[in-house]
Amino acid sequence: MRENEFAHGLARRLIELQNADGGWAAAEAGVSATEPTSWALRALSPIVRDPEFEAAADVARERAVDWLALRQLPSGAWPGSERVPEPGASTGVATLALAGCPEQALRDRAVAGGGWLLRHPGKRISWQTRLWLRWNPNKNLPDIDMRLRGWPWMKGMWGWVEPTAIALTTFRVLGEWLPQPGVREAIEDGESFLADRTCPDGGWNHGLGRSHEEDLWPYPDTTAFALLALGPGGPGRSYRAVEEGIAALRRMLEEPVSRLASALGILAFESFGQDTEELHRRLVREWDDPFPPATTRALALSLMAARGDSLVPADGAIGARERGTNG
Amino acid sequence: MRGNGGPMADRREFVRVTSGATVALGLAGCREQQDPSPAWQAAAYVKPERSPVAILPAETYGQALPDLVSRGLAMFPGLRVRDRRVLLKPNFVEVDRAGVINTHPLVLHAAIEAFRRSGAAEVIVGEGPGHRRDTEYLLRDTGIGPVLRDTGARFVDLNLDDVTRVPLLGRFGSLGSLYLPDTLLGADLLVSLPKLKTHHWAGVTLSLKNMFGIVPGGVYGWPKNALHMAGIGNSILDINATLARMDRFTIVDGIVGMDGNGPIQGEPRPAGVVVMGADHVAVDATCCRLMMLAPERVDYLQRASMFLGNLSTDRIDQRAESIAGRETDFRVIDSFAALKTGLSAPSS
Repeated sequence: MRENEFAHGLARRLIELQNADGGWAAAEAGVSATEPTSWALRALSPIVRDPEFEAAADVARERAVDWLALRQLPSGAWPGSERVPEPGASTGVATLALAGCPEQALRDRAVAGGGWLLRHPGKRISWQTRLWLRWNPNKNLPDIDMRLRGWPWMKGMWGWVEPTAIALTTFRVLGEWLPQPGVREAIEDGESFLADRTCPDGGWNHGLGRSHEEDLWPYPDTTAFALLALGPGGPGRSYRAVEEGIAALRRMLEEPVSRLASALGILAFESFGQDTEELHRRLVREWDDPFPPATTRALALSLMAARGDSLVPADGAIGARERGTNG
Repeated sequence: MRGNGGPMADRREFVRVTSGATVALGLAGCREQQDPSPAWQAAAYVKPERSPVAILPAETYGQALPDLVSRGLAMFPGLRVRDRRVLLKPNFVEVDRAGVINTHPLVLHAAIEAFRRSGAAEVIVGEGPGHRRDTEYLLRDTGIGPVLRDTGARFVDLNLDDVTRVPLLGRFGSLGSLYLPDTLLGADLLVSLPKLKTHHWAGVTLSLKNMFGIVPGGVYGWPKNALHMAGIGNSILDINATLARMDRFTIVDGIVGMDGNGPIQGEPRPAGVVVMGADHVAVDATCCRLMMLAPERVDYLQRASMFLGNLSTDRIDQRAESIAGRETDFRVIDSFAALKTGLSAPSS
């Protein structure tokens, strides 16, 4: 666990941005929302060990936990924000944040969130449509396997890369605490979905590798989330996607992109045991420039990257053990 | 979603969700769902008797664009800018090192300067990119960031802004309501700043389609799948029917447009124009004619002309330049060949 002046600066900034109600807004000012609050909580756990910040971080963390606990719905899901009562993809991030907390009561909340995610995958295409697709000559249709099930941004919609990656990471973290064999099937579904949605030159964008007979290109942030979800030593069906994804992320990060991209790049590469020294230096330089104002998510993920934290907690349960035996 | 319509319903379902594809539906032998009863409250909309649209020649981005935009604004004496909060909404979609996909940063710069000269109390730039979530990347890579830094204009990521649920005033699609950004709802004047482009699902993407970017990804995701599921054309109409309550204006960057497989994979097509006006339907229709496309064959534009604005040349007053002599032959993908059918090539 790295502790340094840079990380302390980010932690201080993150704590300063906490709203009076204990949550965080997506941008610098605004109403509290589930996703940024969850990323902030995740970044502040484990708590900064420097005594100067420990007390402040403890208080911020407790207030964030209270914010999330108060807003969890009876279904186990979380609403998008104070203004958006509908549950959605932010449930995955909230679940991850609470799963990283040591208290059993909070892990129980995480299990409830994971259970909701298990019950709410994206829509699946019917067999009639699949049959129609097989014989349809329209080359403009997306080149994807519509049998596969991902996770959506909004309940009842289609699966896309980032929410699927977050859901898959959540299932890996919570694995042994979620109903079996549902979670194993969900993990397989998520892996297959991500393996199918790669771009032709490797990596991932929002979820379509080709459109109108032309290749589309990957994005750094979605590629990093997918790599974190698939993890090192993944099963055979995603091995090639992982190898190509790592290479694609390296290419995308040859030049500075953004603070979010650098932070996620560090987290993804370190999860595969790869060198990130230059990316760490770049991230420090990028935070020297206050323009444009960073999102709470970028700030929280930068703090995690600066500390050498990982998205999957060290005691992250069944997922890690399974990868060890399957790889 | 499937209802009891059998395979045809499945077909509609698939195409809508993967793309919102009016086009693919057409190829499959069916069309986007259209309720025969009016999908808007007739009493709530009064189309202008006549709609002025200015076509300003601008061959390159190097010329004095702030002056050009100021001259254009002066052609619309009814446009109220002084002491008002102006929200500029560029089309800002993808990493675009060639300067073809997005509204050019110098056009955005010109608009900021021109509205400030006209006495705006504040000029805000807002956009909610539909595919990429990392807006910082887009700001840095597209040249928009330096414009914001140089001008000091405030940028609001409309994907992440606070939102309020707003009932939609059109019912072409099934959305019923949408969460919209508070910055948008608090603006006195909304200015669409689209790029002149063809679009592989909608035919063209101009002032009306540019409004997809006000829908917050923070609620609906990346891409904004809910809009696709309701049908792209239907969503364009429902959003613009709702925004019609606001004072609106549009400035189209047609200096270098995009044709073919737009909105991101097409080819640059220099057209040498900036097109301006308050009636978005009239401006978009004029842009189509400049692109040598038939606006009445763009499904959503034709439907918009029933209540939102004027499509017919008989009701559009062309200011500055006329269309004749300024047309550029924009290519379309095969599935939109009908937009060009029967149109003659420009005389050289």
